[in-house]
Amino acid sequence: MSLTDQERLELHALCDALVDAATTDAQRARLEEWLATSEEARRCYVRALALSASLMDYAGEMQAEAPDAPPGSGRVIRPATWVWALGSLAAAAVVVLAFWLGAAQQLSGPDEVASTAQENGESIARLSGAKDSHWTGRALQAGEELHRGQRIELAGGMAEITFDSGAQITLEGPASLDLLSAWDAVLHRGTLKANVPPEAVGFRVSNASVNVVDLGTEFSMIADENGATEVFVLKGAVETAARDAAGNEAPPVVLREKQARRFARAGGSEVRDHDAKLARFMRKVVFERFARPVQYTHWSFDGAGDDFAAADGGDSPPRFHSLTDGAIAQMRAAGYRHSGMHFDGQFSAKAAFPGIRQRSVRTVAFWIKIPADAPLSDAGAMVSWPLGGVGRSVAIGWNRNPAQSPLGVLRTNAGRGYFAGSTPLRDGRWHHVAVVFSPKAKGDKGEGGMQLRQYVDGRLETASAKHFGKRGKGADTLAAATEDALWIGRAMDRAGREQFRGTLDELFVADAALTPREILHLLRENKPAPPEMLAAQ
Amino acid sequence: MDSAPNADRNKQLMRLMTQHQRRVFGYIYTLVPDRHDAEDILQETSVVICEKFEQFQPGTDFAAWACQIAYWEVRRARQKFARAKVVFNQEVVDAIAQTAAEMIPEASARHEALAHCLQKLHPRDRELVLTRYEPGCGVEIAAQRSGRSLEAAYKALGRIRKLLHDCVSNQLSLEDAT
Repeated sequence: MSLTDQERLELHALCDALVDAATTDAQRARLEEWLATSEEARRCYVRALALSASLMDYAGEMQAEAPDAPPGSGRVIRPATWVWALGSLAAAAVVVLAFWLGAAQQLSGPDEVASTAQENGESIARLSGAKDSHWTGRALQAGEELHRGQRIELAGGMAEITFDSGAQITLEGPASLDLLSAWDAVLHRGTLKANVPPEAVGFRVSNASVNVVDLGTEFSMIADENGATEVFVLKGAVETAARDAAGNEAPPVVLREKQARRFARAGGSEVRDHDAKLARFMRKVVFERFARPVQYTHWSFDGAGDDFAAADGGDSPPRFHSLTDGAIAQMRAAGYRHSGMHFDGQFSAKAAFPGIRQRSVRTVAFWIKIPADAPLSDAGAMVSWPLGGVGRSVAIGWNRNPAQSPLGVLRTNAGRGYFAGSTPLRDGRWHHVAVVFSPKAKGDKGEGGMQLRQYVDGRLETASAKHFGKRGKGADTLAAATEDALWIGRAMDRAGREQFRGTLDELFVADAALTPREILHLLRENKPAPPEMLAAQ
Repeated sequence: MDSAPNADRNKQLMRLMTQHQRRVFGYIYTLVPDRHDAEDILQETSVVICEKFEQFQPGTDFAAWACQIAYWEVRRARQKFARAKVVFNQEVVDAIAQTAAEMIPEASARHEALAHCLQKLHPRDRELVLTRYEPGCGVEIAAQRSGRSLEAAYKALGRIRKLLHDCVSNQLSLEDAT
């Protein structure tokens, strides 16, 4: 006998009470009786409970990590605070996954696990090149992401590691290197050469004998089995601090170009064969590199007439349309290069962008100029788009909440959390902004996790990231949520209803997690880095 | 060093577990309608799946196989539960388990359809229901954040779940019809 509508309603109410842990004994008995006797009631029950299990999944889908501070910056952000909305279900997934990896250890031997055990971690670097490399354990592939806490064991040959800060290390095997963060590594043994661009000043390599902080330079280190380490400065300068057996650091000493020093537990000394070693470090190495095709969409805002708001190239390039009364061509203003698009706190625009909502790797980069006196009411999003399929969004703007982060710093709201950087943008000057989204593969720290990196003027931002429970409610969220589009000048769901005031120029959207070098190329050359340049770097 | 077939097998295990974990959790949750208990059982289940993975026949239904293991883990866990925690008697759990196992194939379609239905909700309702299910939250926090009384939040959640349930069913019947 099938259930009546009234019975169905009652059954739903009982299931709700069960899910919310609010059943009385009588209700529980009533539900049990139904489930014991009616197949239809059981089907109804299974669907109701599965709905709640699915809602747990969707509600916990957003989790993210932000990069950390360079050493010595005085701001330490603990990993626990970066992982927001990593709830109990997602956490269970991590534990389960960790266990599987543990089980794999028994099955496959310690070597493989030493590297695969890092798969859960936050990505902080990648293997950008290799030459005749042999690995202890699983072979790393060019292009592979490397994770916080990962140990690189190079048995022979050479490997090039590019950190998210932009620092680049060439490692010569046999060598053992621990990756601590985008700004920090430990050389246990072997030879390395570090190339640190100005954007990554503060990058540090240490071990038991010495702590080397880069001041913008190229330097090399050779660490032997006993921990004695020789430091050579090829260009620029580094700050070195000897460490004694107890780990205490001596006052720092600056080494300059062509200078070298040997550090051992017994103390500092001169380096033998100085010239020969220096010459060896100056050799050019040709690496096998990983190349991936990257699709860029670029709005230069330089086109004549109506093409002002169209992306460059293609037969029917994406084109911004005004969402307000003003014609879009009237928003042309002096840009960082030629003209840009000016936002007056009223105007906003939208362009159809198929696929933008997908939680895939993406980089969004642009130049922005925000008046120094921009009021808090004009802290609307510069760029915004939908995220996933349940009405969440990404909005890149500046922080207007002093309780959360400094006023005026770059702030990306993503889903139900935000990342705030450290460089004030509200100063009437042009700044280059790049935000890199790397959603993790399912299974890494729960399903659908996301890692986000913010670069301002080419430098990886220190960031704080938090989950916020309550989101602003816009009347047009629903309509907006169904569109695959890119909004500029306001958030797509218009949280708080702020609009943006300032000027935007050279907007790039790339379907890849751009490397620091690729971001610098956009900043300097205003065009995608050609593969041959990346290969020859 | 590991042999290549073992490494492949481990990769296959990881892939399958990642792919089907949500479904296995949903199955466990219908038998043990307490989130934390269900998560604990999911973890125990994963351990057994790892141990027994050699017995799994590639090409057969992994979700069904994993749910069988989950069923026995549920039974084991129930034996350890305090009396107050046991919601249904074993006969009823067995009956639900059978129905739930038969319904595994439709679970994915309903999960996907739910994403679409969440979009259709009024933003205020969507916010309430997602907050309710957010890890570490519950009805009380959802009520506070939405400025509702606890009673009003319970009522609203009941209404929203019913809306979502009907929307999912409606959408699947539409898809079947096309």
